[in-house]
Amino acid sequence: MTTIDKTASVPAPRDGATFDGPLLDVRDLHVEFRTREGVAKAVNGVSYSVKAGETLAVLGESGSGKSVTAQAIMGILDTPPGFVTKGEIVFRGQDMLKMSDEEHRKVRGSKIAMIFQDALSSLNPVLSVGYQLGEMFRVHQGLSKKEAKVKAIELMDRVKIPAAAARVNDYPHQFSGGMRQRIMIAMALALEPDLIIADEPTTALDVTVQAQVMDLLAELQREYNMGLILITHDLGVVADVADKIAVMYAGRIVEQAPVHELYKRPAHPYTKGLLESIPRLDQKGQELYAIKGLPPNLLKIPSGCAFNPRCPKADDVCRTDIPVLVPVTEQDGTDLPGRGSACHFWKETIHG
Amino acid sequence: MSNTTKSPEEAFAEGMAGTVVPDVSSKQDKTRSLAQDALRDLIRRPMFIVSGILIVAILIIASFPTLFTSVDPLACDLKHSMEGPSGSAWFGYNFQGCDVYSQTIYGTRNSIIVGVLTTIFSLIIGGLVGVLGGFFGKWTDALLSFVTNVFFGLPLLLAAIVILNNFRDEKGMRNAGVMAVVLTLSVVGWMSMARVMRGAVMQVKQADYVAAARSLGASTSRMMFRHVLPNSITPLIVVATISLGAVIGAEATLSFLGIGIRPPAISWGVMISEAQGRISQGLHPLLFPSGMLTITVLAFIMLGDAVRDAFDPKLR
Amino acid sequence: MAELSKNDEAVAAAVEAPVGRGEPILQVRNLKKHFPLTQGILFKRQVGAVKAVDGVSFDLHQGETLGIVGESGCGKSTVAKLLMNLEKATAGEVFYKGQDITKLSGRALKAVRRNIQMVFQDPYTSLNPRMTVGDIIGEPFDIHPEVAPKGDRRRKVQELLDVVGLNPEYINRYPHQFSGGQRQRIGIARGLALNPEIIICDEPVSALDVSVQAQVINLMEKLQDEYNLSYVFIAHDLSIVRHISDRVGVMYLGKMAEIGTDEQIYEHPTHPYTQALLSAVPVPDPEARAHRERIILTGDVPSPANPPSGCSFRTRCWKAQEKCSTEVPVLAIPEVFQGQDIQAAHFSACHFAEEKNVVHAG
Repeated sequence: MTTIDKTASVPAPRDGATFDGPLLDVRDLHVEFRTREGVAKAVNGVSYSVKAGETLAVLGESGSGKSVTAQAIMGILDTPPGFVTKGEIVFRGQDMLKMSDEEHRKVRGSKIAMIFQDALSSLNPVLSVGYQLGEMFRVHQGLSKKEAKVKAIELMDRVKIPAAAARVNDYPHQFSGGMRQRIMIAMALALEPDLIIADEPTTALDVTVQAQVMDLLAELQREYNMGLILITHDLGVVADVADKIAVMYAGRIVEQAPVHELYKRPAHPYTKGLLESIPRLDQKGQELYAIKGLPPNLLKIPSGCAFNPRCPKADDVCRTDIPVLVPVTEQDGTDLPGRGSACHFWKETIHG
Repeated sequence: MSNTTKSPEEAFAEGMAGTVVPDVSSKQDKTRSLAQDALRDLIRRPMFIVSGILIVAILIIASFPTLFTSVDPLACDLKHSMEGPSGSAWFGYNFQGCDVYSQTIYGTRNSIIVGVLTTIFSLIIGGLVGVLGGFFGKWTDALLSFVTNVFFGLPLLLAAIVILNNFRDEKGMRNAGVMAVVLTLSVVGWMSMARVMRGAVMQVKQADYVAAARSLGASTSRMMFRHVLPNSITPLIVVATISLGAVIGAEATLSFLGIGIRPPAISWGVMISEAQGRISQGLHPLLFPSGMLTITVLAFIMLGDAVRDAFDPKLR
Repeated sequence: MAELSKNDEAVAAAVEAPVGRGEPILQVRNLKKHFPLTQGILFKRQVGAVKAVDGVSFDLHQGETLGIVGESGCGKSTVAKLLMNLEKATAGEVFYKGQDITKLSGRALKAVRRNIQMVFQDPYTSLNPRMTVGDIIGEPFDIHPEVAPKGDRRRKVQELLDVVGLNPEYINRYPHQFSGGQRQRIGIARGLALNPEIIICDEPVSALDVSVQAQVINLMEKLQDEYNLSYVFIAHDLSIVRHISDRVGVMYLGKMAEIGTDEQIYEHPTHPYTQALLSAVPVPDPEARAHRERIILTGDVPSPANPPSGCSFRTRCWKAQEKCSTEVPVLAIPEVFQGQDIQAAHFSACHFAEEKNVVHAG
């Protein structure tokens, strides 16, 4: 059992630090929801990977399947109606979907942690914050009540909650939104996970607080060399913290790229449209570009490319053939590492 | 601008985060309200079908008892006293020698009348108190809530006994008619309806569409009857359906205690009350009315449950 | 008291319109809304007040969009409710064409309501689920029958649907059959029905998906041009506010911290709060990540029930000095910039106002 010593500024190398290759590797994941109205195909073949110390941003609108993918990874999918029908979720070389419930729970509790959007409903309102933080240590490490409380205070210090010792016995409602989100982060950090999945962690917060929380998250990630999957719809937040980005639409990854590349030269009409449709703080634009139409109904995803009814480049082939995620290259064929686009016309989109 | 005013024909349906919005394609362009949706949903529920059939049957029995029996329930003959079920009297005879089947059939009417009328009266009293308190708030609400709580403080049975004890028939005997029982049960039973209604109204009152109506200059009555009431009545209907069963049970309790409907009027409660003293001589006069009572109460509670589920937006 | 009236005058001067635009259509003066905090059940006594809006003043001109930004709890939504007369103001005036609408009631208020309409934030709660789209958009005509004769209403409703980009045949559908963006269009159509001059928009796109936001923003801009509408556009998204607004006011703890044209506020902010707010907004451009200076504020917004003395921002301000805790800064052109013909010379409620471009810093 690793001891948790939060005073050291550099964390000790942890077991598994020698492990080479991606921390988490999601391969061809399919998730569907069987509802009364029919089968909603929420995730249709998603593959992505995260290395230690890396931040992957999964970008998408509501219904894109970005959160469902995370729920499948965490094993917190509501079953029924949700079912993983195909694919692998490989964590440190082991497929989590093939693990026993007990093994899965162990990984989930100590190796992968999740931060949710709504901190207030994720914390138990009738237990003090210190008790909830300490619970991790009592249950997983068998510490006494007193020791656990000391650890809880350390954790609260760690996420920069002022006067931690004085506030350890306060209840969740006594904290502001930003502070509650910090407590959530502290809980996620308690057992020093290898990977954190943050599902819209700052969406409910004000901009000034949002910046504080994102900074904290990035700082802790660097310090612990954790992998971070950031799920969001906010193109601004992504630009600030991500290393690479996966853009999802109708349950598929439509584009994948390192963060600078994506903003500079999008290779999918959907990404391009999104980037053009958001107003900029530093520019007074004219009329906004607007992607026409609405996100697709997951019960009836359009044939061919799911984006074709809304796409300005759509052709006959888009209505019949589902485009696969292909590597994107320079015009002269030079490799663009880490880039991929699921568009029949990616060449025209990026180079045209 | 072309983008925003695009043909509305374009992909109309939409997938939402995790949940799925029912698809509305141009083909099935029937317009349905929430209530219609709920109704469509209801008729597919087995619980609704079973309870529905039972209730319809009970209502027919209550309305047309002669269709089911030709025997006069009050034509009793002591020579049949406590005779068991037979071909001529399916449920047998009671101590007085009356036909239990015929009495059970004829007793249905009074039990149903008490149930339905009491529920309607409580609905009106409770609904009104709830709407006024919830909508106007402030001192109106403080006063009405206070009154509601005072009534809640009264023990139901004790209050009913005290009230019904004051009813006398022409002969000066303690005897409450059907209407007296209905009024008594309404007076002691409207409070939970008022609470449910008040809560629902207060919630709906916060909705932006009420604010929108107000900012259009809508009158108080328009806001109340067009916006607040239609959106807050559902939980009341659900509570009412469930409590209908309870009221029928309460009527039986009062009759059993001898302060509700009294012989020669017949109700299931009256029959149970008469039969309980002679259990040692035969169970059948007790069993059949009790069975009918249980089935009826259950049917209404099941109906209430089904209605609640159908209207619960979280389940759609 | 003397100081207070001096304040009022300064405020009045401060928010006056840029020259040459005629009479403002809406003048808000020292608007206040205090929600009493009470104790006790039967006999309530006031133990304090939440100062949700505490002295806000601004002008709105024909055809103009005034953006109001601020974090949650700054009172911007309460301002919307006060402008709509959905809440009674504790103090202050709202003049619509010279008439104080906070004092109106009954028929006079109803008449004014025709001209000031609102678009709500949540498209899921702002439409009555038990009414058809036709009934929802037609309700304004039921309430103000003089606007459209009875036989004409159906056609009018269909026209409105067409104007906001929905199929006129949807008239018999119910709100739950539409997506968020479409519902917001229905809400806009209802707001347009009475041909208002002013539309108060309270976070009209924040509940919508990114790709749908642009559609609704474009629609609102188109309608503004077509009908010469004036908007008060309240939002927390600074990028959207910049896009749509001609002038912008920044609110903090119930007060206006800074107000000016979009260029003055975004390119030449002088109030430290505005600067911090702007610097915190993530820009969708990773190149800018390295170049931008970020001012990370410490702590949270204080409770409006117990705001700090003096300048309400001083508890989080890096410039705060003794003076800030004793003297309430006046919303006016800061002394250092007075008489200069530069963009920084706009109204800012700070003792130590100083220009700082945080949007393009680097």
